[in-house]
Amino acid sequence: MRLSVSAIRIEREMGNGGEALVACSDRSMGTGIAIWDIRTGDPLLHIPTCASPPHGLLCLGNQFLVASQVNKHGSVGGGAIFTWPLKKSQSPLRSYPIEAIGPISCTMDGVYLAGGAPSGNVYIWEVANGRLLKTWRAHHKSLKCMAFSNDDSVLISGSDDGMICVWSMVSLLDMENLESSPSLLHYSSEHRSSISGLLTTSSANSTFISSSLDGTCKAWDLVSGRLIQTQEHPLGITAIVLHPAERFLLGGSIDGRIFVSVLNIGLVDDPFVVAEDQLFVLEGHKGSITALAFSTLGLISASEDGTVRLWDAISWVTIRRFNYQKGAVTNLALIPHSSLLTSSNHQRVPYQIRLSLLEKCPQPEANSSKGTVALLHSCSSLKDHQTSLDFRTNSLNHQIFEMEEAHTPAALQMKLETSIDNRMWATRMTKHVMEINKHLQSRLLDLMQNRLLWSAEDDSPTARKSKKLKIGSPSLEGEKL
Amino acid sequence: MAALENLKDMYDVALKPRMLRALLKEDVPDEKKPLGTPLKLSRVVSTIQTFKLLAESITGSMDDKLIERWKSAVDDWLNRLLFLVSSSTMPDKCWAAICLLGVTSQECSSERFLASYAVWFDKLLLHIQSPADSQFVKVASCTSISDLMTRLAGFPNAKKNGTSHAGKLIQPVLRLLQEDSSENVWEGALHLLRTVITFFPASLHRHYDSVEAVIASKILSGKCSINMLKKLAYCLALLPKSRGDDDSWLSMMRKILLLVNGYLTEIFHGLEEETKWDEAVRLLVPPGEITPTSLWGQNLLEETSDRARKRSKLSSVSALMHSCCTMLTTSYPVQVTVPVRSFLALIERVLMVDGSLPHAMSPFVIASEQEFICTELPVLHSYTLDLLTSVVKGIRSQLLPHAAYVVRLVKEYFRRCKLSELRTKIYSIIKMLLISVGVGIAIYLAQEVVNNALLDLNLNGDDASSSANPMAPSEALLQPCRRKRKRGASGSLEQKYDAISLDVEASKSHPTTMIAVKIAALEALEALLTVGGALRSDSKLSKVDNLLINMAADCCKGGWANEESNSFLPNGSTSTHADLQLAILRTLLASLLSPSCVRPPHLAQSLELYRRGRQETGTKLSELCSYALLVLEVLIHPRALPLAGFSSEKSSHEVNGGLQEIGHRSSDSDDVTFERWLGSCKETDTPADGPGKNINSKMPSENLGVQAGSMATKSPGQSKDEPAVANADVEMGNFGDEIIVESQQVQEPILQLQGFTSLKDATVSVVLDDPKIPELELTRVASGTGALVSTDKETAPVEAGMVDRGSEIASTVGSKNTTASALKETVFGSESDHDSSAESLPDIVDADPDSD
Repeated sequence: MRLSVSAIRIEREMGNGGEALVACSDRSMGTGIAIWDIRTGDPLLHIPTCASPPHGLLCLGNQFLVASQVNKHGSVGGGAIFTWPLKKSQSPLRSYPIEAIGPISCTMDGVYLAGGAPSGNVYIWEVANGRLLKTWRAHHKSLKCMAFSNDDSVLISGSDDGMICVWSMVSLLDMENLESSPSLLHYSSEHRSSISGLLTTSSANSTFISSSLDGTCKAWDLVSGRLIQTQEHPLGITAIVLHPAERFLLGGSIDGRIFVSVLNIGLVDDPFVVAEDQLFVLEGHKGSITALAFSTLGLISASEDGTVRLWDAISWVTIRRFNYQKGAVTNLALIPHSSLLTSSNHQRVPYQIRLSLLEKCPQPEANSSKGTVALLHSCSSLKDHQTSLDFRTNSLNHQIFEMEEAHTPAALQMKLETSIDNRMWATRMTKHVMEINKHLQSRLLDLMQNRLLWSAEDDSPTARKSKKLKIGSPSLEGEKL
Repeated sequence: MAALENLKDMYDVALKPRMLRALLKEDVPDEKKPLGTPLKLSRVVSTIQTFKLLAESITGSMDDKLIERWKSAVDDWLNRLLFLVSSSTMPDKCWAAICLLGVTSQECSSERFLASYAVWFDKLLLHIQSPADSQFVKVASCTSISDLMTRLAGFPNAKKNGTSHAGKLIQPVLRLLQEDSSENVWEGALHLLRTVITFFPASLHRHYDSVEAVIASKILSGKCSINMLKKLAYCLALLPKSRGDDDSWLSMMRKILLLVNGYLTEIFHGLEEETKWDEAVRLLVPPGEITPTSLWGQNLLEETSDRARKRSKLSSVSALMHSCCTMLTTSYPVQVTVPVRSFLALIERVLMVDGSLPHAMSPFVIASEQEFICTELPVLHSYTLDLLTSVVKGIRSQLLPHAAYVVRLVKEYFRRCKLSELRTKIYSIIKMLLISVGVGIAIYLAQEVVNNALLDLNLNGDDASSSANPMAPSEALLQPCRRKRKRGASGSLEQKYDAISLDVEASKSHPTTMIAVKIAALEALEALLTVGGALRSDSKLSKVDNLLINMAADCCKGGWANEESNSFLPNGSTSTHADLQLAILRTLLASLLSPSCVRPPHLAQSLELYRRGRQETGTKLSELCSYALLVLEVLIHPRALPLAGFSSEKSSHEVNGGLQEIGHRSSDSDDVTFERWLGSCKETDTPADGPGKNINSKMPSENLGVQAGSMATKSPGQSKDEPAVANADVEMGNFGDEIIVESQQVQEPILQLQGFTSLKDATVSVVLDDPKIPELELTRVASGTGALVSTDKETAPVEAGMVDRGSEIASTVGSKNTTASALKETVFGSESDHDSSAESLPDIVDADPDSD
């Protein structure tokens, strides 16, 4: 049984070529980003100069790492967002927004990037051309966490004072008449302390879960903002993650424990019943949990104690420990292993995300007429081939039909040419036959002359008659032709 | 000639050369033999394709003689074809041979193809070049060369050769397009051009401008049929692909948009504000550049009052819009900058013209002029909506900054639009928007969709009135929209009155456009329910539920419609009553499944419908119904399935073991223990029950919930023995490592007995252990579980309750039991020193069969 389980696991890994684990800290720019192979635990890559605040690191479309930078001294006055192409990590793209950016989040297809500032402002950029599409005052307090809904049409933001706001992207990005329709769908200040995590469930786009330092995790209805469920924990929750099958909700706490509880949003319907489904607790970390993630191999947790652990998702034991060594780990990301390899083997990426420097401030309307950069997929020759074959058959059938019916001039012409051809052939053949006939007749005459000469010598009529028949029959055949 | 020994069967390889020879002898013409009926040709082609007569596929088991025979047959075949192709005196045979050569170039073996494609190409090229040939020969040559090039594109190392060959084709093809007068020839030439652009784009570089000019002039000439225009437009759209860079795409797009806007300025003169043209230019022409006055030999702005000229311009506009659609939706090698705002401005411009006159203009427009525009508008709107569809499709999520604009546009147009064909398109656009953007846009569109769908789906009365003054679909499209709208507005009063008297029969006689609108409305509703089902509380969406169940009941009352095959219709795309039923049932399913606070009120009725529909064997309806029943199962009997690793009883045990382990260790969290964890949990040991029992009572009960759940979900077939094993497994877990190893053979009670007696710690294996109850008892319990599975309607809630209420159930269950507790009592009597939490484990497991 054990064997088959691990076999399945190996198969899964082969399926997507393995994953790599990305971690970084917020201590100082010198610490940088460390990347490990999850399966073997070997360090793969180290990217220098990066220090990101919590929720400040993400992987954009499996092609870029994006990290907002902490700016502790504030001497520069602005913030910084660095972007590294995974294939060429030595040449990052450095954007400098107008103020320091804390949490960042991107849409699933990597088209939009949202960043939140300590001032409570939120920025949305279009990644491909770097345009700052929108900036607005979203919260009174510092932004802590942001997430897009599964369909990327709703942005959820959480702030230091426990406020959660849900924004409609459609009206946020409405270029034409600004401020006409309210983009804030609803907000809530149920949490009594800073929001530490936001995530959306995959079920029907309608639920999201928030965690807070006040020790609760709450499930909300995305559209109406109704509180569905509250889970209480003894300690402040610093990070949450959903089990891939969405059976469990895992919450990391301040003291390094990870609480696993059953998530059943669909069944419990009374928001005031505090679910006591806490199943068990994972222990091992010595510092506050900062980030949680699920890989194909199991749960991954990062902590302020400077380690990252990989837990088996079935037995819930630590399989591996990665030592970051340079201080508290603040961010985790998982990237496919293959995205790190330089494309030496001519493998074409399905589509390449275009990336530009993120703009400092929104451009006036006149400049935005340059339009949107759209991605059009690369072609598939198979389909073209098919249509070509279809065309052949159609064309052939069409032509045959026309020939049969002979109602178009061309078909008539073809028919005519054919019949002329036939006629000429018949004439030729007739001539030929006539020639043969003549020839035969002359032969016959010769023959008869000879016979007459002979018959003078001996008279035998029967033999002559049969000869005549023999000569006659081929000429008949010739005429038939 | 081949010896005529008998074949093995129809798959015998020896058959192939013989068949080929027979075809050659009987069906393929030669110098003397006439072609006979052309129908013969299609038979030859299909035989060759079915049996792969030209493939020369050689497997190891074929003997050399057979290979030789096949090869010589194909040789003869080719010789015959090539001879006929180059004979100019017999056009029909030549035509046939060209067609067959095309087939050959697709079907023959790679070696043969690579060896001789150049010869074939030259022979075919001659026919394209010579002006004297019959158009049949020309078309066939184009098609066959296109086949040949397609095949050639499949060989990566022949790319260079292919490009040079393709380069030779461009000029003759252009000449065909310009000089020949037959649409068939154009079609063939365009097909060839398309193949060349697609597969050998590099060959087009030198001729890019001339190709563009020829195609554009063809489109603008106004001499082509609609079908032809579409093909031309498609080729024009493909053209930038041959260069494959951002600039040529954009410049082509700019040209097209400028021309369209210019033409529209002329056509809409007097019907819209004069500023539209300047606005379009502002968006399209980059600042600093001069607006061209003419494109492709056409002046951008000119005055025409000639109606025929206007009509031809309208058809050009349609074709160019089609080009835009193609350019937006087909693949392109690089990313391009799409002038989204220009597109949207153009779309709005067209859609907002409805034939009414702005006040300032009215005296300047002649009534006949207005009438002319009104007749042409529906077609133009239809193309514009296609363009909107393509824009949404093409730029996908990057539409978001413009989504609000599109929503406003769609809403406004929806309010005005009364023609059913256009409404169908609007619905499909809305559907696409809902699915692609998601709940964020559903918020804005929900009200609109529901209101309009209610209108369209309730239209029984209006249908009656429209069938009273019959209106063919084509007329509906051409009817001036203003008149239609007035009628629609006045018809709304009587429609409610009529609706009562109408029954299913009337709805069966709907014109097909009505059905199409209804289907489109239902599909839009379905998308709304799928994406934004959570919106139902604060909108009219609940009304929809009622409407849907009524429609479903109504339309299924008269039995299920026949899915008659449309073999008599050429396109087969007309929607029938069966499609309507299908759409209704599918939307009903979405409404049942979309999230809500209460159980759907019409569930029972719907289930009945689906159950009946499932019996319609072999229809799409029955497929849908059985799928619906499967999906609804989860709704009726909600399951919160345990995460049973990989669906084996072993792994559920592992979870248990892990849980207890963690609970057990809650006091000490040493790093040292990790190594032990790693080792121990691999072997699925469970702790001795000493400390394990002392955890809070919540944990075991939760474990039980998991355990019970996993049993309940096993399929009845398995449950015969697997739960038994599972039970035993869990139970054995309490004894220690050495027995776990043996627990694979749980069926032997003796082993159990040994384990039990040696440990003196029986908590669970009482059932197995009782001397009077051998395996028989085990299977009885197991089959009890099996019964439970089949009726898990009742058990699912029961189990949930058990999990929730935890240990108190554990204590009460024991007393409720009749048989199992009787069995246990004897054991409990002897070993009474177990604390309750450990007992609760076996109790509940055993109690399951009896609890229903």
